[in-house]
Amino acid sequence: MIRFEGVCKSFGGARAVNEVTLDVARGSLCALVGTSGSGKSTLLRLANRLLEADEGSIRFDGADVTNIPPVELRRRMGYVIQSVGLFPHWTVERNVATVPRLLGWSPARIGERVAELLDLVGLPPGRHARRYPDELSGGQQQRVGVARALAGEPELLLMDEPFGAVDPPTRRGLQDSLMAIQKRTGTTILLVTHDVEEAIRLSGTLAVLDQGRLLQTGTPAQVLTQPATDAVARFFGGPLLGLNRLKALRVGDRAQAAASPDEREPIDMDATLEAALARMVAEGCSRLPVRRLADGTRGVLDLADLVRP
Amino acid sequence: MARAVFWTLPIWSGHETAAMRMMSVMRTAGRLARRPVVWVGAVFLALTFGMDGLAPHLGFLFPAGTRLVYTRASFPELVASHALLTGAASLIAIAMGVAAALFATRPAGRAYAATLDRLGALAQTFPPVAVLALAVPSLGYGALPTAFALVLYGVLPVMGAGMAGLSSVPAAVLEAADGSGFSPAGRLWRIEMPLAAPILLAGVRTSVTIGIGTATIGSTVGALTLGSPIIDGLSGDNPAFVLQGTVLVALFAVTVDLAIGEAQRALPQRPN
Repeated sequence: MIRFEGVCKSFGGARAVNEVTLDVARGSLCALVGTSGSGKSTLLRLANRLLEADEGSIRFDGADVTNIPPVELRRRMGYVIQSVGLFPHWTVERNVATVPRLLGWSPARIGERVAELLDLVGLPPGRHARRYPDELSGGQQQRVGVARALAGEPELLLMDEPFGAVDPPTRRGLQDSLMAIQKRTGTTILLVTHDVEEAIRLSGTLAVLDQGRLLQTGTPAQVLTQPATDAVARFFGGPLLGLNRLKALRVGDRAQAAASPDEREPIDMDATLEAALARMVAEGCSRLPVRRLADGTRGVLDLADLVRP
Repeated sequence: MARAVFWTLPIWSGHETAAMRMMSVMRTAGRLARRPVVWVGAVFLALTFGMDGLAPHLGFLFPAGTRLVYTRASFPELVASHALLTGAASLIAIAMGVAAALFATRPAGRAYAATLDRLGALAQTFPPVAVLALAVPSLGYGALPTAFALVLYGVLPVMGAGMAGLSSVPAAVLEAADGSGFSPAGRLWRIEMPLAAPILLAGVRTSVTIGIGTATIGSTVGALTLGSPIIDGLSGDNPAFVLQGTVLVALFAVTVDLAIGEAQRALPQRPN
């Protein structure tokens, strides 16, 4: 969907992005992670040409982005930022309709699309369409921000620390909504975050940046079980890396066939190992029944398998 | 939504009786009467057209023998000439001020913002009378040097307010607008200008109100304004003329000030 190839970007002599090559597959969610100043936001802004690359090429759906006028390019990509930036003089409805209007859709189609999106992000249009941004909570504002970014049916959604400014419970709710939306729409998402938990939770692919260089790409499970460099390990918790690995791995990755029946409430295959460990601690046991394995038999998760490297 | 309104309207008006319509007209009139602009404006108009009739009855206010009726021009003429002069000068000042503010807030002009600001401030440090005296040799007597001085004075409030308004738009809003795919012109007209409008309009209000007052000085160089009776009254030791001109100029300025205030309130803008 979007491919960065040997991309460099400097600001006043300092390399913010250095020789990055990254391919984001259609329909995937790729999280760009790294500490502040690692170049992740710069890389994102190169994609929709809010910044222009010094070297290398960026191909969007096969075409070099420098061959697409910026205005057209941006209407084909959704853009969500941490500070949301809703247009304060427009209602929620009008904000969401921004890109469809720019694209010249018919009013009927825009109305339908706006209602659909407000439902999708969990803001029933009957109650929220006519409200103004300053009447919404921070979490609601970002929901509108996501709806606005998705309204033009973009092929790619760019998100720059979208949930960084909301409180943790609200953030979880927004993350859940985003996962549900992606499942339903299949939109390709490139997401910048410095929140390790968020990256592990949301992404299919992690791309770890440090000082402008891409250190490692892979699934969260791959990156957390085999960090390519010390810097990657350090970013994912250093001495606490093992705990974060439990967030990336699922019960299904470590469950075995059950030898004997267990009458306790079984745990789901796609629960994280972190959740499984939490239950073991709570129940003071070292094994849990698992709902059912891939072959349909009952399974069991043993603490020894859970902590296996 | 539009369709729903279309269908329900005829049903409503079908049920509306003459009495209901009458009541709604009266309610509208009542709302209007509570607006200060309406009655201040009414007093202004009444005095403009009634001054010649009223003046002969004001003899008790002034020393005996004072001429009470200004005869060099009628008051409606003076008001029209004054309005034309300040209106034209204000339009030019607003156009120039907005253009300067736009230039100073675009990427190409940002470097000049401070210079423009200083230049505008400098223009206001000249006293209006000095500007007139300096303008007369090149522009002659009459309305032209007056308009020149008024434009000079009117630009700064508009430019300052325009720059303040445009730079008050939050950076996140601008980034979201760019990221959504607005063209630079689209961003300016749909996002920046509407958000800057309340502050800009406050500058326009100041500029126009100052202009209406300052224009009176134009009568010292031969422009026909409400300053004419004031100047004549001062030089001819006639307090009646001074009072008549002053009251009308003050009412004119207050009316316009209140009218722009109404426009500010009517802006389709969320209070912050």
